[in-house]
Formats: sequence, structure tokens, C-alpha cells
Amino acid sequence: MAEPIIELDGISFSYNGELALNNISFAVEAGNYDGIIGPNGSGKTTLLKIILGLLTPQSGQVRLFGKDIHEFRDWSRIGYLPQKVTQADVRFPITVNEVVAQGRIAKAGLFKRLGASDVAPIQRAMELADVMHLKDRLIADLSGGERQRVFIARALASEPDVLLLDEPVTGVDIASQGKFYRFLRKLNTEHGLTILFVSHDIEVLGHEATRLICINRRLVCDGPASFVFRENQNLLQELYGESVRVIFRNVEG
Amino acid sequence: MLAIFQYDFMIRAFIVGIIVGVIAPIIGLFLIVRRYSLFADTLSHVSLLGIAIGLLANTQPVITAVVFAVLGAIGIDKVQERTKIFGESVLALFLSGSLAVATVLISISGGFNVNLLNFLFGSITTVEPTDLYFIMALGATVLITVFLLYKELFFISYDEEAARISGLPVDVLGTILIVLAAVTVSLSIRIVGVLLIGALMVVPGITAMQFRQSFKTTMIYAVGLSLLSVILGLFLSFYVGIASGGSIVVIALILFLLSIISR
Repeated sequence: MAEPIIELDGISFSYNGELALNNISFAVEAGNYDGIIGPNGSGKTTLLKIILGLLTPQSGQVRLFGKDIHEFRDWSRIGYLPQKVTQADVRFPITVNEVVAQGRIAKAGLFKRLGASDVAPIQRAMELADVMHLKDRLIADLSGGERQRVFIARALASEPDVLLLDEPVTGVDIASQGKFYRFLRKLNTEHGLTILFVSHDIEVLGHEATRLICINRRLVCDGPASFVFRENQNLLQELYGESVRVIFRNVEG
Repeated sequence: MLAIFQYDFMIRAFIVGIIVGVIAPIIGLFLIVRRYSLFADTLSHVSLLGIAIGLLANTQPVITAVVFAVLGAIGIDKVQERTKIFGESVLALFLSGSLAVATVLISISGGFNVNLLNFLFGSITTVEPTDLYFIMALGATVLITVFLLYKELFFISYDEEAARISGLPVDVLGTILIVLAAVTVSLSIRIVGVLLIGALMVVPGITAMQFRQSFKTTMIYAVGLSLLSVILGLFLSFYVGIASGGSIVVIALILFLLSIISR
């Protein structure tokens, strides 16, 4: 069997002496659609930043595609959709085409211009994310949903094997959110893209992801979404606290 | 032939003006979108310190200006990185600090003279023949570096986090950009002057942004607007007898006002 795409082994991280993550271990296998859920302040964004190499944990090991993160160089295999893309700075003069092409910059290499081998992946990414018709428009002139698709296209332009998303639907209207989730599912099932989705929205992730990893500074639960919802309601209460009632109406979908 | 081109000093002024007119708005646009517009002004004051030292030591002030501006740029970067002082306050510290030291040095050396005023406001008569090759060589270096690293500098200016995740050496690229800014500022001082170089770097860029184009097109527009300002400004300076820095920046400002009105 192939190496897991992402492997965390005993990750602990503290900010100024306060433990934000305690001994977290799990692996994401190729083809998965995994969701990391947890309340605000649970450390899930910190965990994502550790996976992306932006933060270094005090203890534990991160392996990407079988390689220790400190030796990993093949970052174009990892696509990332950041939080708050819908609030991208509207004063920056930049077109859709320019944003999507950024996905190829690191891959093309220093001092080199983007060439013929970059044009096709950029176009494919724009077609896949349905932003081709917007290509010469300014980012400032797009709706929240359109901007989100542009940033997905940028992530896809590097032809990644895995897509990491951090609360990506903030500021996007409901209709666009539905379209976005269908698009992610299609990327996962039809294009074989592995997805790791971080959100506090347990209802949506319970519906979309096939596996849920629940974090609240430590690993609270890890299993198929249906298992987490049906068999382990006490775990969810532990995760979100006694006072929070989780609504299950979407789970069976 | 126009009378203006019969003077060697004017030809030198035009050569330096065109070099500066191309590189200043390019570097300036990167600074604008990184919300670092005042960085150019800070570096120009650090350059003034270099000029004061150059005049005192009786060496080429352009060379000492470049050296001090580059050291100042790296110094600002390190102080911002390693202390908990607000980034803007660090700029204020370097701006007024280097101006203070420059003033002290100038006073010790016997006070202000015409030569120094030329550095403050820019003068078409001050480009020495020996400056010319130095300015041409460094100007070409800045232009070639931006050409080679355009896509990386563009990416880190738009989305530093995504650039870092994609594997780009963001910190090194950031340092390269501020060193380029320092060199540009110190090369521009002869023509535009310490007090106005910031304007030549920033005004054409914000004018170009009014046209709402892609980043690349905005950059080309900024260069065009800047060259227009520099060339018209040098003519104005020659025929009307006003400081070149002022005439160049006033024209750049008129172009900005026109761009706002015509929107």
C-alpha cells in the first residue's frame, strides 16, 4: 500500500507556554475526503498550519508523502485554500488569470517565466473551477462565491494530489456554498483528489466528509462520519460542550 | 536641435531621469500594494545621511548614499522582525533618526550649502559624468533583477502566506525587494531630491491603479506616467528654472488628478 499523504505522529504545540495541541496523531490516505472539526479555539487552524509547514510543533513528527516535513520539497503536490479568500484585498489590481497563474509560480522555478507547460494546467484549473469566463476580470469585481472558485483554481493549477481547506465558505452565499460542496465532492470522486477540510461546521462536514477527525486541543474522536454521529454522541458533547446541541437532520443524506 | 540638448549636463540629466523614471514606479508599485509606501521616504532620508557622510569624506556622495540606503533597508527589516515595535514606528525611527544624524554631521562640517539643497530638492545640474556609469550600471541591475524575479515578487506581494506554502523563499525575496527599493531611492536623489523621491515612486503607481487593469498592465501604465512626468519635468526645470524634483512631482500629481477626474 502507498504511503499516507499526510501523517501526524504525536504532534504537540504550545503558544507562549499554553498547550494548543496535545499529542495528536492521525493519517490521511490517498483518496480520502476527511474533515477536521472542532469548536473555535480548538487548535484546528494551528494543526493545519503545522501540516503546511508554517508552524513547527514542539514535539511530534509530520510526514508528507512519506517524507519528513523538513525534507519535503514537493510543495506543488499540496493545494491550499485559505480562510477569508472572499475578503481578498479589492484595492490590489489583479485579474483572475493572474491569481490562477500564481499556482504555477513555484513549480516553474526561480528566474524562469511561466511557459507553454504552464498554460494548459492553468486553463484546465480555470475550466474545472468554472472561472474561465471571468479570466480577464478584476478580483475586486467578483462576488464572494466567484472569488472562492478563483482561489480553488489557483490551488488546482499546481496539479496537487491533496487539497487542504480552512473554513472556506465564510462570506459566501448559501447557493454558492451548495455549488462549492458539490464541486469538492466531484474533485474527490471523479478526479481522485484527496481532501482535508477544516471547519467548525459539524453539520456540513458530517454530511460531506466520509471521515471526521474531532479536535479540541487533543484528538477527541476519529472515524467514519456516520459512526461519529450515531454511536458517539457523547463524544460530540465532549467536543462542543454540554450546552451545544448538534442538529442531525442532514446526516443521513 | 533644441537648446536643451546642447548641454552635456542636460543629456546626463535625461539619461538618469529616464533610468529613474523606469525603475522608481516599478519598485514603487510593489511597495504600494504591500502597503509600504512610506518606506521609500524613510530610505531617502537614510540616503541623505549617506550623502552627508560622502560630502564630509570628500568621496562620491551617490555611492555612500546607496551603501547607507541598503544598510538602512536591511536594518529596518531586522528591527521590525526582532522587536515588538510597530512596523510604522520603525520607519519613523529611521526617518527622523537618520535626518537628525545627517543634520549634526552637516552642521559640524560648516553648515548647509547649495550642494546640499540640490540633494534635497533635486537638480538637473548635479549629475556628474562620473555618476553616470554608476547610476546606469545599478539601474540596469535593478531592472534585470525585477525582470528575472517578477513572478515571485508579484506572488509574495499579493499573498505572502500562499507564496510561502508553495515553497518560495519568501523572506529572501522580501529582502531583495527592499534592497532594490534602497538602490532605486539613492539613484533617484540627484534628479528628484531626498524630499520628493517617495512621490515619484508612489504617485505614478496610484494613478495607474485608477485605470483598473491587471497588475502587469498597471505596472506598464505606471512606467509610462512616470516617464512622462520626468521628461516634462526636466523641460520645465530647464526652461523655467525651477528645481527638477518639484517640477517632476507636480506633473505626476496633475496626471493623478486628471485620472481621478476622468473616472
